[in-house]
Amino acid sequence: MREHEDYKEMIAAHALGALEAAEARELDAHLASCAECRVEFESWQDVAASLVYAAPTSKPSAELRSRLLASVRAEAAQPSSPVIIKESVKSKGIAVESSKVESNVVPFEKPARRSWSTASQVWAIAASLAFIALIASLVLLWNRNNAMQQEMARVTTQLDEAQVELTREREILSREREARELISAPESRIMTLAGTEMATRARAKFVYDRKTGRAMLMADDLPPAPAGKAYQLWYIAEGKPPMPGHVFNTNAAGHAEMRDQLSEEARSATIFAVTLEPSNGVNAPTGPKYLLSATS
Amino acid sequence: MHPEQAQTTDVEILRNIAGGDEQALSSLYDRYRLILFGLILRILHSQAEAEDVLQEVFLQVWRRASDFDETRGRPFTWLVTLARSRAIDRLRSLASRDRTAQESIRDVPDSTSNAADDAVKSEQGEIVRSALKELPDEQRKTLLLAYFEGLTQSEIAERLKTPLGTVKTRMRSGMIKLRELLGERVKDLI
Repeated sequence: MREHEDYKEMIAAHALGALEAAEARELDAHLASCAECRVEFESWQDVAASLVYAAPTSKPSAELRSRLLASVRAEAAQPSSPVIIKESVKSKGIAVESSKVESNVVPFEKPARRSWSTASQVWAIAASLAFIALIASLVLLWNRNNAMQQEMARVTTQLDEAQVELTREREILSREREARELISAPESRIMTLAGTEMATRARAKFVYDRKTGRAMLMADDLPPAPAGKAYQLWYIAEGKPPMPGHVFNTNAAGHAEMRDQLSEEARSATIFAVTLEPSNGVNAPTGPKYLLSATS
Repeated sequence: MHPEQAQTTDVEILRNIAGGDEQALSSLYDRYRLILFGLILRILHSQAEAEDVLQEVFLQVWRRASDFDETRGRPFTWLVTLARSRAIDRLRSLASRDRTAQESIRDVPDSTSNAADDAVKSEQGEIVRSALKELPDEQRKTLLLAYFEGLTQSEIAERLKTPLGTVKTRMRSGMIKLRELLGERVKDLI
C-alpha cells in the first residue's frame, strides 16, 4: 500500500500523462481524497501545460472555423440543447401576451363580420405559419438524425478499436502465460543466443522443458528474412548431425516468437543455432548462421 | 506582463459558452487556435488528423464548458490539457488501428507559422523555450517524449534503453527544474 509521500512523488509524472494506467488510476483515487495532493497536482498541470510552447504555433485551415461552427449549430439544434429551451420559453411568452391582447381589446364579433377575403387571408397566414413550423421541425429532425448518425459511427469505431485492442491484449497475455509456465517448469532450461557477424545486434532467448520437450524462442533485432527465405532453428548434440527445428520469421521490428516441440534426442542438444534457409526449411543447414548459443 | 483581465475573460468566455453562446466559442477559438493547433500537429504530424482533433477539442469545450471549475485550475491549462490528451488518444488509436497509417501521416507541412503571429502568447513562448534549453539534455528529452509522444515512463525506459528508476528520477528532476526556472512566471504563462 502506498503512502501519501509516495503518491506525492508520482504527481509530476501524472501531470505529464506518463504514469502506467494502473498507477494513474491509483493516484487519481488518492487525489480524490487528498486536498493537499490535489493542489499540488493542479500546480504541476500548469508546469506541464507550459510545454505547449515547445511546439511551434501553426495555422489550421480557414474552413475549419466554419466547420466547427456548423457542427456546434447542428448540436444546438437538438432539443436537449440550451438554445432550443430558450426558444420555447420565448414562444410561450408570445402566446401569453397575444391572449392578453385578445381578451383586453378586440371584441370577437367584429372580425367575424369582416369580408371573406380577410378571413381567407387569415387562413392563408395560418397555413403558411403551419407550413414554416413543419419545415422547421423537419430541419430539426434532419439535423438531429445527422448528429445521431455521426455519434453512432463514432461509437462503432471506438468499439471496433476496443475489440482489436482486447484481442491483441489477450494474445499477449496468453503468450506471456505460456512463457511463464515454460520458464517455471522444474526441468526448464534457458539458453541465450547471440548474433553472429551476420547480425551483430541480434539476440534471442530459447526456453525448453527437458521433460516435455515444449520450447519457445524469442528473438530481437534480427533483420526480417529476404523473400523466399526464413530462419530455422537447429539443435546440435555432440558428435551428431544438427537436428532441424521449426522455421520462423521476424516482424518489421526485428522481433520473433516461435514455439517448437523437441524430440527426445533434441533435448540432449548442447548447442542451439539459427541459420537462414529456404522458407520451407531444410533437413541439414545450408545457409549462414545468424544466432548461436554460448558454448558451455 | 500578463494582464489579469485576460485571465478573467477566459473564465467569462467559458461561462458564456456554458450558457450556449456560439459567439463566445468563436472568440475562444480565434484566441487559441494557433497555439493549440501547433501542439496537436506536433503530436500527430498530419494536417488532416490535427484539424480533425482540433475540431473535436472545441466541440468538447462546447459540450463541457460547464464542467470547468475555475477554483480548480486555469482555463488555458484546461484547454491545453484537453487538446493534448485528445491528440494522444488519436495517436494511440492510429497506431493500433493501422501501422501504415502512421507511415502515411508523416506529411508534416512546413507552414508552421512564425511564433510572432500568435500575438497573445509569443512572448511567453520565448520564456518556456529558453527554460527548456537550460535543462540537461536527458531530462528535457524525457519530458518531451512523455508530453509529445505520449510515452509512459516504462515506454521511455525501453525507448532510451535506460533503467526505469533513472527515467523516473530524470522526469521528476526535469519537472522540478522547469518549475524553478519558470518560477512565478508560470502564472503569467497560462
